[in-house]
Amino acid sequence: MLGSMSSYTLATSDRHRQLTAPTRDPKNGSSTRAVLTANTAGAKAEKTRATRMNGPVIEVRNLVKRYRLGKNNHVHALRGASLRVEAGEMVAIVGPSGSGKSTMMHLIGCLDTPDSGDVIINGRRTGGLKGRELTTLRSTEVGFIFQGFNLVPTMTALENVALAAEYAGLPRRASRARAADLLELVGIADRAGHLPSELSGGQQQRVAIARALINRPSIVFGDEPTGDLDTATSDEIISVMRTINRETGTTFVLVTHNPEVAEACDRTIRMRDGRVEDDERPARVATIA
Amino acid sequence: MGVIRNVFRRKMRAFLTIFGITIGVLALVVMGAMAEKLNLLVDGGIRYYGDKVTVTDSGANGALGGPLSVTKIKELEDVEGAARASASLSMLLDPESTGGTIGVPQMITGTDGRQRGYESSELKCAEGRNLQLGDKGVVVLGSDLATKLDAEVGKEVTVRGRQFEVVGITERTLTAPDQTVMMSLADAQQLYLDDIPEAMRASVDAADLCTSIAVFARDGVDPEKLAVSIGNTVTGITASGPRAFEEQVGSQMKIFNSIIYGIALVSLLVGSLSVINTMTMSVAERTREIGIRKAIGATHGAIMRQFVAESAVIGFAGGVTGLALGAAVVAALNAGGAASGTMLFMITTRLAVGSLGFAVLLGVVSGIYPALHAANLSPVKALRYE
Repeated sequence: MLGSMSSYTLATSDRHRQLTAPTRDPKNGSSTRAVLTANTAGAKAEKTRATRMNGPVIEVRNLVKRYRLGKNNHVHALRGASLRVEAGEMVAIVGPSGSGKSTMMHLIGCLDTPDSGDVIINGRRTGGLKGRELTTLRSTEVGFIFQGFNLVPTMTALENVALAAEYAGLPRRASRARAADLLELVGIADRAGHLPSELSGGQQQRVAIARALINRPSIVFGDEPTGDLDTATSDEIISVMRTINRETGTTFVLVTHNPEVAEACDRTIRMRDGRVEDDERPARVATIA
Repeated sequence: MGVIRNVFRRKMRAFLTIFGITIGVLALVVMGAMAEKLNLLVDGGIRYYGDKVTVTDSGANGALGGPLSVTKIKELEDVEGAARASASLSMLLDPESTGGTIGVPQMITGTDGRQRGYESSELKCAEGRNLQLGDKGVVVLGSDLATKLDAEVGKEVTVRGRQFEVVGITERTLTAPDQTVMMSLADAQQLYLDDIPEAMRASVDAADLCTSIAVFARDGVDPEKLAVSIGNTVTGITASGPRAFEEQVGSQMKIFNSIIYGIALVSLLVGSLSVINTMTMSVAERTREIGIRKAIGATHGAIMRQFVAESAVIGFAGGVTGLALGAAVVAALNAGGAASGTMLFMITTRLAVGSLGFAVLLGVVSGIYPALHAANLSPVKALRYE
């Protein structure tokens, strides 16, 4: 795993090393991190990185979100939830169904906009951004891993991963080259030409992880990333994410029911009834930051 | 490639939808091929009549009129503005035929040769030579007739029971001359006489017979005006200028064209409704996929393009198969018609490109509504969709 990680770094870093070299911080230890945080647009990457050094990667204040089910019938998905995630953390959001954890993820991930409250990603307030700006933010700052049926069924593993980079504006050839590196990173380079239907559940999730990483986002969101997997495969996927988090400093926010996922994370945020109920920070988090 | 794979995700449905377009394009191609051929015939006619005044017996209508006297030539050439008059005798190749076929009947035309040098578009021979003054017992064949009669230059052919030597075969014109046997006026008069009941022959002066006289205008004289002055000065005849033909046939062609293309377009519209239906279902089935695409950064435009492209592929596939089937049907119909010498269909480049282009356009237009629907889906709702 670690071996392939550094080969990925070497293979893809030349152009991006130039972009990030002047601000590289040896103490932070992350040439790998610099590679993964550099965006396709150089200037934006600099800005992103600068803000990341200074503040939390995610800051959420008093989020309120209601969904309309019908006339005079609303569901309060979030009732004033707040949280903070520091750069490089791996955080689990847990809670019973209907506690608002998925809504929280959708709002932080710029898939939806809150009724009130603020979402600040890398120092940038997402409220007031237009659809197109949200799309750009989504494709460059965040990556998503969903539960099962995550991939486009008519595209090969490689094409699925490359798709996200193409959406972000990278030319097809470059997208595919980068996708190939990432498939190697998650350990399924040999399955690159296969369709999702020819891949096991674990392999599909690895493809989804590679896809989430391809635009070098600062945050990767997982919505029940181990939801459809058996225990052994689930452990593998957790370990892949954990390694990437440690090696690259990419922040992970995982919405999950799986206690093993929560256990592997630095921190567990418990939600109930649209609020953050408990924010527990195990001792070992100190070694990360 | 991805687009094509997506279209064929549901093979049966894709094929049925494409088939809907195929039928529409097939109708468009076959009926259009008929319209194209007929239009070409009319254009040929317009060109043929374009520079002259056609004089027929006042009792007749159309080119196959009652007999006219060759002696009228002198009278016609004396009319102010007339340069030359030339008599011709036309009859059906097959006297038994009623002449009621669509398209162009096979004809025999005998000309006196006086028109030579005055025609604006003279027929050229692909093989052999054209008719000359003083020719007797020889014919020049139109290209379709030559094929049908299996004739060659130098060989003999039988026309209405008499033997003639083929001295030339004309170039393909795709209009009337392709179906015509050309001979001298005298030979044609002889054939005409053969066909008259014996009892009446004595009263007919064969050497005086013709069915129409073409009058060519002097340089700078408008043939339409010439037709009017001929009509005013010469009795017992009808003089038609070039426009008479255009008006008579042209307006009929317009109606004919609109009916033909109307039917084809209606069937294509039905096909496009089925494309809209298919694309809408396809969007509904792939709601979650659209949500995922949006989550990983697909813009509104990217989703639009994806579905419009799929719809265009359906249109294109339908267009190609429809065109291919249409070409096969046209070939079969023409092969069937070849025996009777009527090739009624012709696929022109314009028709082929137009049909294909229209099918693609229809696909694109049909795809716009479903694609807009897909692009406007909220990512969160789409992701929750099961």
